[in-house]
Amino acid sequence: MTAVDTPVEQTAPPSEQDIPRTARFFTLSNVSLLFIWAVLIAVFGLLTPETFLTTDTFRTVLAGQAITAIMALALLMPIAAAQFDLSIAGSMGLGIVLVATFMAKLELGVPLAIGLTLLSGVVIGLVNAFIVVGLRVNSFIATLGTGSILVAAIQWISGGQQIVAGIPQSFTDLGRHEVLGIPMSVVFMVLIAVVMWYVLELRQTGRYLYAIGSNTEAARLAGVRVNRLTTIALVVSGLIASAAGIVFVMRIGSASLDAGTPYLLPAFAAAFLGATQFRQGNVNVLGTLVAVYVLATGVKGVQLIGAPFWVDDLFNGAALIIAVALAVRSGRQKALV
Amino acid sequence: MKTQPHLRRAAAIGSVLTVAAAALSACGSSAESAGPPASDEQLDAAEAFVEPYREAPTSIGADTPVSQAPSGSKTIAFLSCNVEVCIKSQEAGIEAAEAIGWEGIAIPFDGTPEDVLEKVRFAIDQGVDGIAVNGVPSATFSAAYEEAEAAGIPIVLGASPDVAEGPIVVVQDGIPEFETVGEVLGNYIIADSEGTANVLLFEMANFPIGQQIIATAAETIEENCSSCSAEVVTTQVSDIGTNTPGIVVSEVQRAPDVNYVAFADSVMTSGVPAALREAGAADQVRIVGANASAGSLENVRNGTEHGYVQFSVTYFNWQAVDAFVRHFNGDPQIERWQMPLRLVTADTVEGESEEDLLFNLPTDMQEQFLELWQATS
Repeated sequence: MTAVDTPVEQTAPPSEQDIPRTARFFTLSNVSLLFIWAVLIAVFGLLTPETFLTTDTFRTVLAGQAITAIMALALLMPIAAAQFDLSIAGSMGLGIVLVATFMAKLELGVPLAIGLTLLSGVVIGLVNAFIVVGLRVNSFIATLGTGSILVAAIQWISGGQQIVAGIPQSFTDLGRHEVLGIPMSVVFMVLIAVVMWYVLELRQTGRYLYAIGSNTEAARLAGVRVNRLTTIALVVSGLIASAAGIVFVMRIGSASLDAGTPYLLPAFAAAFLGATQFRQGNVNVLGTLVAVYVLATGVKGVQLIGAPFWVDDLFNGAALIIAVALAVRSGRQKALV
Repeated sequence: MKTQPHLRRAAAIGSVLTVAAAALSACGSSAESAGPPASDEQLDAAEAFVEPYREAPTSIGADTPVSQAPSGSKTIAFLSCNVEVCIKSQEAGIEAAEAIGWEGIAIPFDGTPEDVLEKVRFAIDQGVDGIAVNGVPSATFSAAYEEAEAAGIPIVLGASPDVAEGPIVVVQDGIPEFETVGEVLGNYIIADSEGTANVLLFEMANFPIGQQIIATAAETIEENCSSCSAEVVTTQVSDIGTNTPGIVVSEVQRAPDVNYVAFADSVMTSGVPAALREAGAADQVRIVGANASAGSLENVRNGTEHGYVQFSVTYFNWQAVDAFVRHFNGDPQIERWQMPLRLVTADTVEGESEEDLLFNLPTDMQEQFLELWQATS
């Protein structure tokens, strides 16, 4: 018997189901951002060790991105349910103006001011839900419209005037407070992240939201209350965005009228980049936070080596495109197996 | 090993991004090294330059009256951006027009060249008698020159680096006026630091007036203080409130001997005091700049910002009305105004009203203009 005639035992490559869940989670295609993060830290640590590898840099990156991270978290539920919420910038802006107006002009107590501001976020979410669910307007268009209305509301409520005085010291002190050396804005971000992670990963609500996002009609036929959950997603989005506004005023100590707008694109970028990680194809809390901080680490390193101002945008754009392209390619290869 | 390509790919991406960034860092500017200690003469000269600006200005900067009091009915359109400070400027223009029996209309634009052009055309279509445009280069609306000339509508351009051409009858508060702002800022930093200033000066791309302030301030510091250093950092409008605080902190971390950060406009400092505090650098640097907002005045009051060279945005459109009065009279335009400036520090904000510091430089600005126009309020 020649070697050619010898029967060869065929060993099929293990399918994803054969790999333990924990191991699947840590496949490099699933956590590539973590490796990119490690490479960035190593490279910038070598290039500029005296400034990059310091606790000041760690604290600056951590605190500086807290509001962006909160805004990105606000987007997760709507995106999971295949809805856009472009009004989060307006919700944040209105939150900024309202919490400052309640405290500085109407002289309401801090808890009441915070409560009413959060309520405004809920109302914005309900209005968005009415338009999207009740009137069947595409969420992209609906929230683009409400976002514009919110900008008008901000100008009307504030009279076009920045609110800089009258915000209680106790409120801004809270923004300057630290817990174990961690700035409060980061603490709030972590609390919101934990709640979002619990709901999206461990509760039926989260699974249903992903089901809606995956195939709305199939989810509806399977008995998922699509309209109710879409409403919840948009309400939570408005609520978290208004919370971001409160954290902003707490941290900065004044109310700028157009402060929400610059956070919109970074928030979407982080949510979409985060969707390439951990639960590929689905937005998720951990991926979003990692995305926010990978981009921030890269930008910080770029700044510390003295790159010109436009390199920040170049870095952000390139990182987003490359990471998403990598994830798409990885997904395509899986599909071919 | 199946996962190796992913690892290599991830590492490659990170490396490519960082190496590219490192290569690009060669494009960045670096601080000039400081020389011998500043002499007493240099410090005295800086303080002497600044001294007049520590007091409130008393003049609107010109005293040539118009040949005759304005008469008849004219409608002036005031075009500027749609943020708070610009709206205040438009309101001042309307107030100035109404003070002499004319009518003023506010037409805000969003700052994009398309919108500026569209709003200039809108004003022309409205059949106004004059258009005052503030804070944008003339190139953004030069396509409407022909239409304005055909309609016989004069344009007054304010806070712009350009020169008068086409329907533009005069450019007010251009390069020379803002060079003075930069000189005051530079000398203030030299005097305040007693010749020990290592300054990072932040400007915004596509903000020519602000860039002029920063360029002149940097030049002043380098020329007039042998022991000081100045480095200009460019940011973008879109960085305000988001990236700018991080950029400032990173630049301060890169240059630990920096003790002043100066801004072309106070709008750029949004979030900067908080970011410096979180980075533990709040005590290391003093925040200074030009054109304080209400928020920055409050920060000067509470010590998180240090000082500003202040000019009043309401002044620009009172000046614009002056130009229209002279134009319709056939009078020559005033060649050079001495723009009223005020150095605002912690001492200043304690003693004077926010309204006066922001919008009434000098406090009797309106009366002085009316006097020039031979009109009474």
